[in-house]
Amino acid sequence: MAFRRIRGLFSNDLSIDLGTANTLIYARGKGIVLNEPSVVAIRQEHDGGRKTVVAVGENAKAMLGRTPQNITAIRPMKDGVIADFTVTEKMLQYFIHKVHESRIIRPSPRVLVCVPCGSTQVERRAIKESAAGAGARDVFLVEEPMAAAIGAGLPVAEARGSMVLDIGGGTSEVGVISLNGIVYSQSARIGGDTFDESIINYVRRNYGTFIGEATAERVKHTIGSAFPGSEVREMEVKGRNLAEGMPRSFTLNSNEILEAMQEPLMGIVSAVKIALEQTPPELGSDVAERGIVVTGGGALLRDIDRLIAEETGLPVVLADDPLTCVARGGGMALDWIDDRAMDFFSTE
Amino acid sequence: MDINDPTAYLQRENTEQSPPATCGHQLRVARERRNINVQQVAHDLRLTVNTVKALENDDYTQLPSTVFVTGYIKSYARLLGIDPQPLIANYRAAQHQPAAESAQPIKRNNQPGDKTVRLALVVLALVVTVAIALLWNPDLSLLFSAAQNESATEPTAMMPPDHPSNIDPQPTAELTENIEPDPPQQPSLLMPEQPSTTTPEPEIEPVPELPIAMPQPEPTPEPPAEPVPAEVVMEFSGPCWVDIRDTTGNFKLFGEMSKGDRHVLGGEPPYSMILGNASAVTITVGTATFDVQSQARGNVARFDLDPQDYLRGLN
Repeated sequence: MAFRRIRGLFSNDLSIDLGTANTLIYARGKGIVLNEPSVVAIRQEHDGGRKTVVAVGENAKAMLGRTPQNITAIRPMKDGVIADFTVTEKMLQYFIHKVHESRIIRPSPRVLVCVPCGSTQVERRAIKESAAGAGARDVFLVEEPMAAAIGAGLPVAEARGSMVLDIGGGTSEVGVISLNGIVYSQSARIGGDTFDESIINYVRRNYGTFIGEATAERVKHTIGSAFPGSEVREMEVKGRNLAEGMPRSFTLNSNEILEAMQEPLMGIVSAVKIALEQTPPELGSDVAERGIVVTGGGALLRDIDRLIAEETGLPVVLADDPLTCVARGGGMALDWIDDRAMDFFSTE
Repeated sequence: MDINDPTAYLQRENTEQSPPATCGHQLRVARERRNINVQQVAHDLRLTVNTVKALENDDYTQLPSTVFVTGYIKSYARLLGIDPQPLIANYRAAQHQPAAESAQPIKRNNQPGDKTVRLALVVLALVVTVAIALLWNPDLSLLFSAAQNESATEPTAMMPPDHPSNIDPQPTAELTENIEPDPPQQPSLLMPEQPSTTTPEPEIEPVPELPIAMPQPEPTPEPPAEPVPAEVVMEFSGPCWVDIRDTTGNFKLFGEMSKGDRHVLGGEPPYSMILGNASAVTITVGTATFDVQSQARGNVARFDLDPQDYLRGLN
């Protein structure tokens, strides 16, 4: 233990946004130092069935859906929580080591991990142990809406309600924050992955063609939108025709994608509406006056703010650099550990 | 409602705003060009009329924190069909404070990764290592020069035979680690003083080749004077399976021995021994007979034997 403390002197405090789609690491005093997909490629050895890690992050993502039989590229996080404990630990270990690359001494940083507010005690404990297993000397947990709000620059310490909507890869979190604490929070297991799935399903239903996750994600990035716009964008996509079994190419347009994503989008909107219903009236009026802040990768979906504004009738604001909000917020929280009450850290 | 009156704006423009580039001004001009009134904008952006007016007048005291204002500017710009980036840059410049600064000042104190602390720690670690090395072997400094001079010879010759602690091999391992500072360049410089430090009889090394049929010298009372080549002889009075290895792993005696066999152990003591039939083995260390039976458990003996230690123990 004492040795970990000494090693800690050679490590940076880290804030980790362990997301379903991407893992971001913010190092104290350095900013975002790592932003890689949460994907691990594992090889099953022929002798004895031993498993070894082949690639992590960007390299592993390139393998997703393109692996030979003995390699599987997996995403160890599902719905914002750990689906595969050991693989998550390996991934964290790799990432923590990567941000300390130049050091000889094995890093042992203090780590703050952001967890979905809907995660259970068991899931939180799993994340905590995973980080500890990856070499962290202290692990703090903070709920994602809190970190997102801090990262977006909301005045969390004021006695005013601020509402933040964080649309991540696996979950969407709505939180109302006042006086450094979460007044209301709700997590819906809808996120970027859900959008991709619904695009895959839509294409299979209407075109009789099967497309992969990576293609669906590219479609979403290129022509996806949450609100009918004036211009219609098109994109050529290749997939496997289910009837012929042959790869075929066809064209999708933005209205089709909007239609495809209707269901998950409505899920997010209803989560926001429920949150507004549940918010105490004083805080609700603060939110109505200033607006809802959207963070997370989902905020990059075209016109998502217009959709929510239209549905709720409130001003909606997109945070700057929404992808990194949670990690940055966690980093700021780490800065405050020393000189503030730790009231925004969640207990296990 | 003079806000909706273009002339009112123009008047204010002439009086107050000489540089026409402020964010609010650009928004207002763009709005007027498109003939939209403030109420319409407020409705579309779902803001209050006052907020929109404050935006256009660059009156940020009435507006909430930066994140909201940039968001409002973005949506306003989108509504008007203009590029929001220059406007936001403008707004940030007007704010004077760095944009990243949030409502709370972030205090950074006593960073644990402080450079001076790290440096101090590294120095401390070095000092401690050297101190321990010196404590372990107080004459290490002498050995340093000796070892440097002898670096050209084979590694086993690095032990100056006149040194007491070099009789057993552990300190040598320690030594070789400490001779890190690149000896190859040194010998040429130190050549003249070589005779004084190197001892002239490198033949009496404690690790000679195996079959030296030297008459066993009695264990000398003062080992510092000369290292005792304590020969270990094994005699077998019956069939016995043995596995004997020295520390280096180069010498080993392995396999089934038969009655009447006699072996003299070479290699680098101490030896790790496994004897399958301990009662059939007699081990002689120097002149003393080693009690194999005391090590045996059910006629199988597993033990480590360091002849020097053993002889010392006898004395």
